[in-house]
Amino acid sequence: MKEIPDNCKVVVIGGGVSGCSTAYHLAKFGWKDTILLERDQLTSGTTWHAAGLVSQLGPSAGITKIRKYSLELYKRLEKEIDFSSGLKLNGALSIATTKGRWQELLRQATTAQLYDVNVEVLNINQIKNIYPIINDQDILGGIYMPGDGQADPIGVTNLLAKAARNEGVKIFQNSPVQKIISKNGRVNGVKVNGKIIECEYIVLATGMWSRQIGEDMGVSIPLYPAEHFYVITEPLNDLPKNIPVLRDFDDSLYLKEDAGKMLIGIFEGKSIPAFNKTNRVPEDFSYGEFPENFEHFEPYLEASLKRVPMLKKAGIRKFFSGPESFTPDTNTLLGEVPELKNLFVCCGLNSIGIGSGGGVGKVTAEWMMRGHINEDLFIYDIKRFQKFHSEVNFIKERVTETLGDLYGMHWPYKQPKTSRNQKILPYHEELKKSGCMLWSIRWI
Amino acid sequence: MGACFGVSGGYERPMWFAINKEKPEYEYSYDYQNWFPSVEFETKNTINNVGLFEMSPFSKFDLKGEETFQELQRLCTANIKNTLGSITYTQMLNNDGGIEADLSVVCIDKNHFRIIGPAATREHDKFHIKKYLSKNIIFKDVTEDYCCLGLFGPKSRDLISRISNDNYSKEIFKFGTSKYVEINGIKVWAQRLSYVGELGFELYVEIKNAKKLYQIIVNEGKNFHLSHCGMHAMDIMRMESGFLHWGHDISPEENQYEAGLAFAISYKKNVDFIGKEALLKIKDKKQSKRFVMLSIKNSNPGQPLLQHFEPIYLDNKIIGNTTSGNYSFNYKKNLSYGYINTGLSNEELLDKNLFIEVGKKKFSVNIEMKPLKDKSFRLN
Repeated sequence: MKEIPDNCKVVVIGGGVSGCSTAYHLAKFGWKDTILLERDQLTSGTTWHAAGLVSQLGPSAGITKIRKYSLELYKRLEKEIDFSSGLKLNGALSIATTKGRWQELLRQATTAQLYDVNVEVLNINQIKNIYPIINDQDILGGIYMPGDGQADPIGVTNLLAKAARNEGVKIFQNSPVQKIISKNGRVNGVKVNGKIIECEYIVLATGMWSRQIGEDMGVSIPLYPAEHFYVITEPLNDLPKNIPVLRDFDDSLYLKEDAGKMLIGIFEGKSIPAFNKTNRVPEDFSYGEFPENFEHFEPYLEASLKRVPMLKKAGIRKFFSGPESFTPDTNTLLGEVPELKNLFVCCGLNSIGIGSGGGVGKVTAEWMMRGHINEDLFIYDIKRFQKFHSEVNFIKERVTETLGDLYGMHWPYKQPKTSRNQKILPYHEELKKSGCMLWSIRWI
Repeated sequence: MGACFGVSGGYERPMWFAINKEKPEYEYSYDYQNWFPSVEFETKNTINNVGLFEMSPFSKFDLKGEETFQELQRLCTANIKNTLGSITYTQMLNNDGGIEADLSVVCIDKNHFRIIGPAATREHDKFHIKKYLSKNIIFKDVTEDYCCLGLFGPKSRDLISRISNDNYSKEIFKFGTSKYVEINGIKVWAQRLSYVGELGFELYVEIKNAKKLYQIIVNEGKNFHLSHCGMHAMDIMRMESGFLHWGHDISPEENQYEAGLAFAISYKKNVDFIGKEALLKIKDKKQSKRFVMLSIKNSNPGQPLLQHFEPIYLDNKIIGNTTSGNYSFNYKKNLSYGYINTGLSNEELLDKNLFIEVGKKKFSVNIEMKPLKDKSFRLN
């Protein structure tokens, strides 16, 4: 059994995909004196139940870079250390059934050219060709990313953990951090299993626990878990094995073929915040699931049967509901927190953890070692938020919207609907009532 | 009737104001925007009369202490003016020369400066500033202590002169300066500046007096064809004026030479400001990318709706991408900012085939040699 050291340069807390990735990159880039502490087992928080989709195109250059790199990294590491991450790249197909969505997909396909992501615009016949079991009745068109696909979340995490160990990282499981110790406004160490480890840096890769860990030490980390739902069907004999991942945004659905079964997941318009009674994630929540909520899932299941009619004859093997953390704007939280020097976060993955895990770990390592980041990544910087964003009242209501925003329309100038009126101007009511014209005659 | 609100830095802030009994609600679209008639009116009225812009969410940090000026000189790339009331536009860099913040610094009193920055980057900017400040400086985030109302347009001086006895003449209250004034007994910090490129004043007032000041302005405004203006009008007009926005047009990924902001770098101040060493290394090199302003040929509002991350083409080759887009009703131009990477100068590009691609359609564009709006408002 390895001895936990008395001191080290970096403690990464959390053995999910982002923690393992951060630890790997820190060591790879030269900070070998890095340890990773996992409260229970690697992946036991949320990573284990991820659907494992990997897609390269994101809403900005910086995000696309992170996702592209993630996929490249998994491919490279699979070869380097001969360990499978379960990558299966049959491509991904996104369809549009409304005019606005079709415009959005075409804009994405256009932007993709800036980042060398291969995106093909497909008409209905072409969609039918690569996804023969689809009901194309209401489809206006689609885009196809041949290089995308899926990975095994546990495989990816173990691959990264193995790679991290090879670079010199020490990983300790069953090592819950009891306390984060600070001194003169900066990180000083952690207490784990009664023992103090002194360190210079801490990375919170603590997923859905991050908000409450931060709260306990006066650090604002705005995320909150919402219930994510998917079902897995019984095996279907005639289910094609090489079909791409299907995203039917307008129906809030994704469908993933996996070992002869179909996984049907949803990012629905109004989600359910998890741990509703306590507003806290239990410390010992491992491999945790929630009871079935068929009523909530049913309309989406129906939509999926309409989209892929052959699923009607399949029984449901597994109904899954589990927590995943969401942020106020469905974007990840990275960077150093303003409240405590040398405390970095790498959390709030908004259900894109496997697709971005490799890249967010790399960015976090670079950010720590350089002291800043030379990329346009403000969209992921935790400092885009203020204190109130992590207060339970705000974030719990907001995640009911932001989970669905993943598949909702990303309209230009879109404004949030939930958790509004946080800060009101003294003349708010006057503005609300006033038209543009403050005088009676129309000027032209 | 009424304001359509959006969220900015946590504040509810008017995005546009409904006209002609329209509902102040967004009808989202990737083409024509239902608020276009409103902002057409707001922007036109601002350049013809005067507009009232809500600017309270802009972040405001007060720095006090004997060494404040020296420390600001180290943080900022511009030569900060250390005379009472003077305002300096500047960037702050990281050690690699990447742009971390885009701000104004104003000298409010001896050893007392205020930094004013965008609403959305409040915590980010604060973090960057505090990282480099010594303990001798007293730093305070006063964002929520003050409201700020902007009065912009050719009639702004006449309007404010009717509600205040202070001197607002061009000889006394010059562009880029500021001072305490009194409006109907309310103490107001007035800055003669404008993010919308018009004659005008930013009026900073303590929260407790803000509503009263607002009412005084609105009442008197009726005599000057004052209109309410929202965020969209401001964003359009800042683009007409050639002003950049951190987070869209500039970020740590760009340096000031690429962004056309070299005018905000002072080597002559002889201070080793943060990022100077990195800048000196790239100063005389040809930059691989550079900032450009483009406009779509023969375009109507929302055809196409320009945003950001759209590819820019020279003939069939992608040479860059857009960073901001807006339709200017004042100049009837569908305007875009962006960066291109080509060996050619603007003059050389004039007779070339340039395009912006949106939604898989290519639109022919002109290169704009200078901002649509000139800077003469500064002299008036």
